[in-house]
Amino acid sequence: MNNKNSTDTTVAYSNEIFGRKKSLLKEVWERFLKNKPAIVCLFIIALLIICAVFAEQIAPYGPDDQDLTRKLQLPSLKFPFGTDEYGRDILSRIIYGARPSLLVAAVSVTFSCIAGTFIGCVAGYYGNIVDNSFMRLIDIIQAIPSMMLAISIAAMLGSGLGNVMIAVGIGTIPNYARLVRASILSLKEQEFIEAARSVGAGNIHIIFRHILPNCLAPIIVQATMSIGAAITAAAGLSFIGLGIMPPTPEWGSMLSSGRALMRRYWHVVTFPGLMIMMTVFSFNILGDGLRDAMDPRLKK
Amino acid sequence: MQDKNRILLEIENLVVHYITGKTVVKAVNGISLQIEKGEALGLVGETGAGKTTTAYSIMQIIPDPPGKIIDGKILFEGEDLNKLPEREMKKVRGNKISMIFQDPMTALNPVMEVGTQIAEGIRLHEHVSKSEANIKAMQIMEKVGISAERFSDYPHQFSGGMKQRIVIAIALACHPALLIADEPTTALDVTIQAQVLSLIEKLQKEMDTSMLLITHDLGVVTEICQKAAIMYAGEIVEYGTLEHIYNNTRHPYTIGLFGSLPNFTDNVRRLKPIKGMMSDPSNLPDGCFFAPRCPHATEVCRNGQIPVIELEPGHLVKCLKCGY
Repeated sequence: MNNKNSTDTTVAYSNEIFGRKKSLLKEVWERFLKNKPAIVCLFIIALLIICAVFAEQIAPYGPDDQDLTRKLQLPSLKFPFGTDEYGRDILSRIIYGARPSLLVAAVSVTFSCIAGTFIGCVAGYYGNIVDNSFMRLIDIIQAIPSMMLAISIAAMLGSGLGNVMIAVGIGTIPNYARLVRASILSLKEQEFIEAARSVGAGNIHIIFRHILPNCLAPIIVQATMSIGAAITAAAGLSFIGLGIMPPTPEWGSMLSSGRALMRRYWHVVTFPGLMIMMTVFSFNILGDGLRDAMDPRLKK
Repeated sequence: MQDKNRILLEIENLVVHYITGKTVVKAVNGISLQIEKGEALGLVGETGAGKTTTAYSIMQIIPDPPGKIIDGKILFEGEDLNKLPEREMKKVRGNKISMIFQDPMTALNPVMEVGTQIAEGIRLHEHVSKSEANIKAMQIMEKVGISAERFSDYPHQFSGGMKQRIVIAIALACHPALLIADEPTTALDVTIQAQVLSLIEKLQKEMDTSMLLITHDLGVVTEICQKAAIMYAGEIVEYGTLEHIYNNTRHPYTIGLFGSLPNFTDNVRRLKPIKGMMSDPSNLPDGCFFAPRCPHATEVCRNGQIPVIELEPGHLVKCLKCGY
């Protein structure tokens, strides 16, 4: 009995230490768990990622299995989302289509996030001429509507997965650059930055160890939110024929090739469209949820 | 004459201005002071007197722009810090000279474990592995009275007084030769102030560190320091040992400061505050800067340079009216 008591207290004690140690992330997670819509969206996104990774195992048919005898069938038990004009199963194509969409979104967002954060850091931290030249460059990019910019870049580079990523990524660099620059402008005046300098830390050390971790929360939120925009942009490029080319299954190009049949065969365009909508919506809600969880002050 | 070898820090005629557009804020106007090894000097003055600017100049962390060190020498172990390249200065900061900041609430990085913040200085200056640095950091934490178990806690999990202990631990992590404490107790409540002060004093004695204590509290100076410098409008108006300053007060400003302190021994019914406000540092008067508020000021005080008079060896006063 006595023995049990002492182990209990040890456990409680170590839990206490452990609990304290984890508290920052744990707090965010606990606040996030309270947000039901965000949880649902996280679940949907997780499903999508699973679909993209295990498309071969999940999809009932191959994405390019043509069979003209079963073309343009309405949704049925055999083909839950129906078939397209070549008799390909739309459900399978949607499952495979999650791959390029998520890949483009992930890569382009990572690219613009890193580039934008770098520009914002340098501009905000060093100020003056550096700030001015970088931010004017950013202004130029931002002066062009992002879809126009993406279209012209894609037209210039030609179609293909990699080029879509670049085209979509460049347009969103200004968002990160501005966000990070603004955070850094207020952070670098803080006393703890001076304190870090007073223990002998150099600029690079201060930026990476002290400033960036402090503006990570808005960056993460911005990144999550712009995944949705990136998916829309990628689908848009594919729709107008500048993105990923058919027959690669991609939601945007599925919409594009189905639009001629839209009046008679609604299912050909409805399901890819719904997928785009649902994915973008999920990422946006998730981003909102993350923002509320990471910075409760922002919540109204 | 003092032994030259004992002098750790010597500031000669330091001038620091903040230049914004056309206005020039004259924050520090030619101060000179010396700190010997193991000695504690109290730098006393009201808000805006240039105390913190002096500290930042020693650390060479004046925000530039707008701040600029216009003139003067800061000799630390015989080297002029004003002329030291940034690369060398980095090795001095935190290693040989370190600083305790005024407000522990803002001087700690909110998203970094406190232990890591203490270990940071050690890792920057001593070539030790991460785990060795962490062990050293834990030892220092114990020294300032915080259990090493709290190494992985974040600043928001500490109270104000404990945060200040962490700040002290960061400052002392590399056993600096000179510790600059910039109003270390101002942001703390009265009950904690005494604890933190005695901790600073204890560690300073233990590590044989020299200290520049910046404060506006004359009482704090008597407890910790051996010498005091009274600053007004960017100048040191009176400088000497505690004996000189407290028992042989000469400068009208210092007298005024003592007059505004409550006193238990004398039967005084009212405090005597210094009348008026400190002159605008961007528009300082000619002559003695204190003249507009000084009860003894005459016409001679309002023109030209006021000489520094050495009343006794080591007791310097910048006033025309007390030299006899």
